[in-house]
Amino acid sequence: MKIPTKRRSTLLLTLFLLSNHFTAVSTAADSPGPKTRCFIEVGDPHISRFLQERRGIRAVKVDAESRCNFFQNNVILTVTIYKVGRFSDHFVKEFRTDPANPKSSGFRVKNWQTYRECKNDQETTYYGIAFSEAEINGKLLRTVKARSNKSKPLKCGT
Amino acid sequence: MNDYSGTEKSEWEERFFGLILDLGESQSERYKKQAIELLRAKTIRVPIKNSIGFYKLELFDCKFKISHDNGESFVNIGRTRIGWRKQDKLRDLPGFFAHTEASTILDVE
Repeated sequence: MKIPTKRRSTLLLTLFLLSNHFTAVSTAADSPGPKTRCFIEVGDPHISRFLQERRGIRAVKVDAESRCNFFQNNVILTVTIYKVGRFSDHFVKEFRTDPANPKSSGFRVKNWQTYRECKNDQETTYYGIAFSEAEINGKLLRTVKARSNKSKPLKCGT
Repeated sequence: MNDYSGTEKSEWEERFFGLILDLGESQSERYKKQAIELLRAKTIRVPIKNSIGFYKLELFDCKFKISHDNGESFVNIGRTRIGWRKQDKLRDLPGFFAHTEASTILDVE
């Protein structure tokens, strides 16, 4: 049976639209699933109030925390600070928790150590990225990278 | 990130930054010598408490690793961007030494 060209293109278009529709429906049905209760929380880049008020030092700081409803062992929580550049973003500082440290195990592991002193008052936009690796129930698991929510300019050139 | 106990965080920051600043003052001569040695050799090993710190200097950054088994294995801990000029490196390295040493000392305690 020969299908006329015009009708054939209409049929192909209909099939194409239908296949897209089913893909969308299928994705929507698959994605929600059970929500994980292990996650990384990254704070926004900020000028450390403690250092500024108590020591008169200005520094940009990003804090992060790895939380889980299961006990996390030997957590390596990595926090990286970047600054926004004109053509590309620039690495500023990275710090990780030491997995050998007993404080790197638990339901809540913190990395409050990532900071960089300001060299001048030049307005700069920063953001932080964090991810972690941990042993949970004997399995080595890694989170996806999480980025800080707000990147507002700070008077802190590095 | 607003549900930390404010006291817990400020107590921790007091100890952490207090130690960094104390080390920066008390060890300033050692840090200057370390920076010069790192510039020359590109890598150095430094005893920190019962561990060994390893610093590697590259053109635009300095990496820090730690070993708790007498140098048999090292774990990456920190990395900082650093200016390419010698004077930038000599200025920035002492602060990085103090940061990494304070972190190691507080982890051990």
